[in-house]
Amino acid sequence: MKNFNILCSLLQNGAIPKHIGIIMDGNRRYARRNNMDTREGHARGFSTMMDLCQWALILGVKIITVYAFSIENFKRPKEEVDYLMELANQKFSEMIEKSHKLQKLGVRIRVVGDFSPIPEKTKAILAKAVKATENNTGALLNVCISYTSHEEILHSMRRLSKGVLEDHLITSHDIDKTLFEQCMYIKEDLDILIRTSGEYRLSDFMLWQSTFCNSNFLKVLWPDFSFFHFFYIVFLYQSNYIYLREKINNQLNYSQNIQCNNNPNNSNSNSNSSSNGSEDHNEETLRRKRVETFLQYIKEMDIKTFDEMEHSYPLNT
Amino acid sequence: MIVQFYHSTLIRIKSMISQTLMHLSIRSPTDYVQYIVDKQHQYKNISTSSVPRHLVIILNHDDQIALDTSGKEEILTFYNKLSDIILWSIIVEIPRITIFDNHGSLKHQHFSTFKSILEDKSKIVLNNNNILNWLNLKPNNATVNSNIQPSKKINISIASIDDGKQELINITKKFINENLNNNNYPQIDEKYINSNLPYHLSGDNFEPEVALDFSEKYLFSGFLPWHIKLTEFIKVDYFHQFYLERYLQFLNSYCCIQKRFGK
Repeated sequence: MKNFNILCSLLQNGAIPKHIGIIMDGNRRYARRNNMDTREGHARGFSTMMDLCQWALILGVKIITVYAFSIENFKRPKEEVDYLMELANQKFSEMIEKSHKLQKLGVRIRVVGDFSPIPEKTKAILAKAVKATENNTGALLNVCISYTSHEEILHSMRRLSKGVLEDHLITSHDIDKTLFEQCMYIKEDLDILIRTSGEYRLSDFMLWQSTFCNSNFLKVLWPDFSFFHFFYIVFLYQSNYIYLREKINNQLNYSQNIQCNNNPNNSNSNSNSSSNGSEDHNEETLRRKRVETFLQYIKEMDIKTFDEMEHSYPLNT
Repeated sequence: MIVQFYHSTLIRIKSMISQTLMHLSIRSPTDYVQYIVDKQHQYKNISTSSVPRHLVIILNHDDQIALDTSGKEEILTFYNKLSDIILWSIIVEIPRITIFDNHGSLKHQHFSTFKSILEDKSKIVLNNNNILNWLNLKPNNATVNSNIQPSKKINISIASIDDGKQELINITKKFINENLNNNNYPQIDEKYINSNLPYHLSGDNFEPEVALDFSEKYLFSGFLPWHIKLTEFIKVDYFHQFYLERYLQFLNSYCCIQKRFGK
């Protein structure tokens, strides 16, 4: 505890990452190494996840995104999948019971992914946990369940297509990188990506949001991940902060310059700007209004989705 | 960190010694190819069945910026080095190679220089100047599967940052414009996206299996988000001191990796 406070106060002197993403890999290998049942490995992994959330909250990290369960993980043995769903039921039910504590801490829980393969009971519990904390604004925990980044990108594309073709709220000219990102499950780019267990791949996790971010691939198995590993990662982030931020900004600037040079619409509007300034301004105002209406609409659709999920299965109160 | 420093220094020294010995033992292009094949066989994990089907080489952004202000000689040195890495990949039978330069200078400015260097070298070393299939040079109306070439061809493409997120946005707009008058439009899916990717980044094995990553150690370099679902990123440093021994160690590291695919 004393070491924790000392290390924490050291870190608070430097830049704090806003958004950390974690691929929590190694639960089953941890269980095998310690001659435990796989289920115990997953339970320990969940416990480590909660510890990480606490450390991050104390440090001032605003968003944590964890890769809890991939769509590909449904290929695992049925027993294991059923256990993981039951573990989610149990742990999220505990969070619902403790929602007053989460409210005090200002922690909001979001669950993101394609919920169609998830059992109805689990969906209802997840939705209830999301709704119980939706007004909290201190920090955000994104839990990726039945998630892949490819599906997330497709989800954004489908939303935008529907917005143009069915709902007629936007036009295809309104679609740009910002709007595309607003339609994704996770809108914020990552500052740090962590993967444990020594693998050096992203496994379809936040491929869009991690394009330019700090990466840390650690050999430690997820249940063994401790505050000292977290401290090391944030310390490394702070040590390289100015250097890497400059690199990231340079690369982002180059990419934006290339896109401006390659986008003919920009060059046309620049050449006509002197004569059509007021028309462009009007068009931009109209575009902004369309986009705001569309974003409000998809926000309402998301709330409706979680309402339906919550009431789709009778839960004992 | 001190241990890591000494370890990496030792690897570099070993690579340089190995490179020197290689130059002493090679008398002809045939010797050069045979030397690489023999070295490859010393690594038991590297075999024809285990080498990646698609390798991406991620260049360091700083190296590319330096080329902007360099003279012709530095530019030639840089692309000679890159050609060596490509040649090694061809000799170990990697059928598809992508070079990622998020700076864009290779794709937009130095492409013809690099192309002529690599073609000259492959003519000398491999006695074949027709082995390279440059996917960036295919016409816009070529279909996605027409880049499948007979096995003697190595597919090679150059990608940059403008091939990434913006292309996915363009594909969304294309889908919308195709279905503006279609009330029963289909659901956009992965198949649609894959078939509408830019020609030089689509087709068989379009997702790289492994990335030879020269970018900064703790930084992701902006590689194409749609393509890296299962790509193994292996960070290496010192591009100008990246010798054959190090390349084979990289390949060996990749061949030892266990893939679970979610299971």
